[in-house]
Amino acid sequence: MTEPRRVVVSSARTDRARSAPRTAGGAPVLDAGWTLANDLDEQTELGALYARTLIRAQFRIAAVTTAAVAVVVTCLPLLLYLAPELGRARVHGVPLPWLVLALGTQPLWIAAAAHHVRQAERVERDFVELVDRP
Amino acid sequence: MAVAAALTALVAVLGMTAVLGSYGSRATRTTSDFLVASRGVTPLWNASAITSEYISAAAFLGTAGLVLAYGADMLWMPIGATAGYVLLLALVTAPLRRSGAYTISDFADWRLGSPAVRRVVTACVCFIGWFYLLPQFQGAGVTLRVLTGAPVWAGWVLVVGVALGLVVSGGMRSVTAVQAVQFWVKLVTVAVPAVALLSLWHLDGGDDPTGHRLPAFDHRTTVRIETAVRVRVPGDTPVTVRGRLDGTSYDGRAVTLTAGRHRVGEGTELVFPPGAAVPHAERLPVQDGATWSIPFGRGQEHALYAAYSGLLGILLGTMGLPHILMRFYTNTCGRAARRTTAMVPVLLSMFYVFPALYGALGRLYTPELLMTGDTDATVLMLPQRLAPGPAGALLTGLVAAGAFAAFISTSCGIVVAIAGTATQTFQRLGGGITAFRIGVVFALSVPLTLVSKIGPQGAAGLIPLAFTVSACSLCPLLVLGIWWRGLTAAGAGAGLVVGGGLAVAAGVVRLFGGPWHGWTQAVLAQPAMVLAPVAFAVMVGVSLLTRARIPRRADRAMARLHLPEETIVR
Repeated sequence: MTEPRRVVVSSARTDRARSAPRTAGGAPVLDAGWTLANDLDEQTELGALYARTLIRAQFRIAAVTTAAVAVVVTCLPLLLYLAPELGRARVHGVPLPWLVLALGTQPLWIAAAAHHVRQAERVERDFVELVDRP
Repeated sequence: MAVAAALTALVAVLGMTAVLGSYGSRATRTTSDFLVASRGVTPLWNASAITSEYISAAAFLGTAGLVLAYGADMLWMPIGATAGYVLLLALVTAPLRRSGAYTISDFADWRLGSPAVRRVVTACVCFIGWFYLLPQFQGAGVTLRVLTGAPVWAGWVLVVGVALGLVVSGGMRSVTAVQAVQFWVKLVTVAVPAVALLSLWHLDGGDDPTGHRLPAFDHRTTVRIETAVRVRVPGDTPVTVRGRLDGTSYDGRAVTLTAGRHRVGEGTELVFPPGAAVPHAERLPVQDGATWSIPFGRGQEHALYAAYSGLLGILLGTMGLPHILMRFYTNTCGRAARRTTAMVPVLLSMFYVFPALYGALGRLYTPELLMTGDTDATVLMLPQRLAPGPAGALLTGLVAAGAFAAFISTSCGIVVAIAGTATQTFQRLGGGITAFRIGVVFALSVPLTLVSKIGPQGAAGLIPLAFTVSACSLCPLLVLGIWWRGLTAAGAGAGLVVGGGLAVAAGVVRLFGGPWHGWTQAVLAQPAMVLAPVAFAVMVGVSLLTRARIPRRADRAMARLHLPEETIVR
């Protein structure tokens, strides 16, 4: 995204008119409704900026989810390693680590997945609304 | 009776597969249908198919066996698997679907514009696929042998035949249908017997497998050794031997097995008195119920490293499994792919409750498997032990159906993945479907020639190897390719070769070299913690060095990966 780009210094409308949809005869469709979608598609500076913003937003969400997984996956073994008495504890006769490892962690993953989907879809929805705005 | 039940189960699973498969091939009209099920698969249906491919023979039979042998330390694996799908969801699925690439090779070629990288990726996919297929063949052989007494090769032939028939005739759609239905088959066939066995165990007095004693024979038990084995005997044990023991032939004579190591020959029968402690195959740890039930209870060297490294390998490895990644192509859009992945942890959690249960019951009812080393047979043997007679036969039939479904679904998925990836290579021999069919034969023939040369123990070690190779090669490629614009073809190629190469090398050295000790042993057994960062570092480092050669399409590709489909004009 850093490579220098030749930009024709002229009215932005010229650019747009040039790449706007044309009729069969080749004349530009008047007022075809240039939207941000065309910017994105043509990779104009503006389009690239929007795309970058979206990618950053998605990356932040992905990073949070990844960090959450990493924290749980790092802490659980450490906890059981440093506090072996936890490993010997029992709930209704079943060793505590078995309950935690076989049943206790699964809801965390399901919740993390659901949360991630909600967040990612929200970002996308906002983005699509922004783009579709005439 | 159990044999009849198992054979009925086999016929039922094959029949179901054939019906679903033929339904699929009738609906298949064009090449596009054939390869990608025309992208019309709904999220729940696709999530079932994905979970089904993931629940291989290793998960269905192997997990219970590992819990039986090693105990609580093995409970990390289901956690790594389920959490791996959360990472896959966060980092890979939607962008990968939006790339429009059918296979990872296509993705690499499209993102980096380099046929050379494509070839390296294809090689990685083939290796991961074959490492994954070999244990499926082996598992099918063992299952048929344990249940019906058939020779081991019968299982290999069965799996190859079914996979060949299904994949060649129907392509992806029929495979999707077969996979999705088989997930539910596997869930039911693991859950219903588990509940029944738990009740029987409770009625039986509910012995505690976690007590302070070594696994012991509950009653007078005859153990037949199918393949020669070296065992460790925990204490002097009076036995009756028919066969070869420590190089001497016996003909039903009473001897005392002294504490220590012994060699038992093929086909030998040993009769143990009630209460005798179970000798353990040499490679399995001898531990009492208390240490068995506690994570890190064995006081094994570098145990924390082993747990972390194993977890990391499964977490990252899950992200790069080629047969799973290909499935997302059958979703209609990136959003559907994301929703599909979010359902997988739910389905996986439902399944993974049960293997640990079988493993724990195995400590009480099938302890002789610790001696024969056939721990994978735990799930298959338990029903007959707890319920001799028709009820046990019925339950055996159920678990057998699940086991067959496990081999078939995973094998088909991997065969489709290898064939789809290698199709490009066979394009010269004939376009479209012909190339795909040649690819299928190619995918199956390599493991078929190798399977007889690798023993069951070797095969079990190949699944972690497949995960490690995936974690050190395809996972970094995908994560960096999707999120970092600066990845270059040279960087990706170098990372794949170094990461994947070292992972394969570590696996080979561990299988054929040694014995190793201390840190060397720990790192060779679980190399992911060391090698995955190396692979990432090489990819990033070489990409930075070749910064001038960032592909021109990088910006466009990044936008295409992340923009929602609605915003694409064309």
